[in-house]
Amino acid sequence: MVLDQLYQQAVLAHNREPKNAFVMKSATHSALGNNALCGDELQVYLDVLDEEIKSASFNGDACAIATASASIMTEWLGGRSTEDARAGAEAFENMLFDRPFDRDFIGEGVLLEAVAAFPSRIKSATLCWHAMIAALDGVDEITTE
Amino acid sequence: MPQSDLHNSAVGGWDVGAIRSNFPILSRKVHGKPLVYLDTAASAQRPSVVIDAVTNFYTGHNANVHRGVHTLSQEATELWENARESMREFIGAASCREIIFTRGMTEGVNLVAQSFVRPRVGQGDKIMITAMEHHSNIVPWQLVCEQTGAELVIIPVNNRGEVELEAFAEMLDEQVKMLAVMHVSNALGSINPVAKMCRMAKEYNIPVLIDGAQATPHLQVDVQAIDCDFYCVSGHKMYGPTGSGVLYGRENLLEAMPPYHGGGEMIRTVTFEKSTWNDLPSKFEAGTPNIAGGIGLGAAAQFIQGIGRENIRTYEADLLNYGTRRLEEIDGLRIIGTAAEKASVMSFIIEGTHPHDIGTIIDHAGVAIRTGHHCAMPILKQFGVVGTARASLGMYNTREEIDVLVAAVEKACVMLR
Repeated sequence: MVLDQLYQQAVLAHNREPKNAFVMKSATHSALGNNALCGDELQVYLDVLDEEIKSASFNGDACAIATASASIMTEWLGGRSTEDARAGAEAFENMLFDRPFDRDFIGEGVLLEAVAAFPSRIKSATLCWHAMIAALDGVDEITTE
Repeated sequence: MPQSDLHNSAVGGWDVGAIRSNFPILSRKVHGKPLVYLDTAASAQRPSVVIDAVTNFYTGHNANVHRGVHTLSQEATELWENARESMREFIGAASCREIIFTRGMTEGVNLVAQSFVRPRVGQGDKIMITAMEHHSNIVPWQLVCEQTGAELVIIPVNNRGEVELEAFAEMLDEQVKMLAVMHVSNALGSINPVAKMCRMAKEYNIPVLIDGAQATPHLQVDVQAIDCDFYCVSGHKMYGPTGSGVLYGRENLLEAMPPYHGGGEMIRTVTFEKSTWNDLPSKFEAGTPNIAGGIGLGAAAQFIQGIGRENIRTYEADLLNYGTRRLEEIDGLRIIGTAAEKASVMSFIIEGTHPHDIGTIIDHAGVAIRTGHHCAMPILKQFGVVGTARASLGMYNTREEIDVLVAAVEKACVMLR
């Protein structure tokens, strides 16, 4: 059933032991993602040099979906161009709104495909992506509701 | 569990099956499971008598109120004014002139903030609320403070979720021009000692507004016994229609206040030079009101009185004790809000899980709870959490439903950990 797909083991593993869950002191870009409706807060950190994301991390208190999504996203971002990062955010959102998207491109992000069936949780999954874009745009905080 | 086995619990002569039969929605299924509705603090379900009152108005009597000489208009006016009388009786007001129909509790607070408090405060004055207030009893006062230079001061709440009465007593002085406090906390369930607080405030001639949104569905409310100056009622929290509510205000205070909204109904005469105001309560009911909603609210008040608020209180207290005990059996669960006097609300967090994930998972077991900050962000911050899962009770809930909740939460914990 779709609930089991939402909370599949691979997603829960990212929640239990998230990758890149730390405050990056050397970050060149950072922004807070704030889901005003539920209180989820994620700070996303990027280390960017010459339009390439050397590494990404996050820190915060959020639900399993938001945490897993941030873990997956920060892994995916490492070594990518900022252009790819923006394209990744778009592809991820397309997936959640049942629009065509490049499955191969977003890699492990497809683990969260089942979120599309839970409209009230889409903001949880996209929170880190919105924060990442805000960081690239030089915005300190982004609020989703 | 078959539907028929779910609701046989009878406590102290209370026939919850008969109560439930008043609420058509309770027979529906969610994700193939019987609905277990534990979100009454967000919005109660409606009994047939309320739904019928609304339908009956639209199908048999629909017209504007206080406007026409024709039969329908007179019937609509009579139904509307009868609903006002039902609400007067329900909260123990002395006169129907003190009962103003509103869109809900929020409008009542804003009306008092702008029409009563704003003209009376300035620099150096204080408006006092508690740390546990709902955003609707915080933000309207912040607006007045911004407009006037008055200061918003906060009565502390202890770690059980009780108002610190000693600190409150020390904070009272001549500069406090308004006290606004919730009767029952939506986030914690605490029942605040509002009558006592009113007595303490009266020693300094401080007017008091009570947010009664979470009280009227669960407790006997008598505004004269509480001796408050204003009392705000939300219709949809007390089994009435959304967009309905009542503001009670002392007649002498309402008389002295300027209108809140201008428009039709609230005037006596209008010229381009000057208008004069209608009598109470019309002075505060500008425009065509939510007539069907008000009539439905009157039906809800009669419905609750027919069942008896003492009976409801006794039954729900038993259910709250049972639910609290059962939830505390869950490994790592912590109840947020453990006041000695509580009503209807079980707010909790579970180590290693997030409320939203719990809420999503148990929805698939048919269980509806609220997750998040419950529009009370400051008090949750005090408890060190950004959100909780909240199961809240109504007269129709059963011990068996609590068991379904607990089993579903346990299953969710297994899934998430």
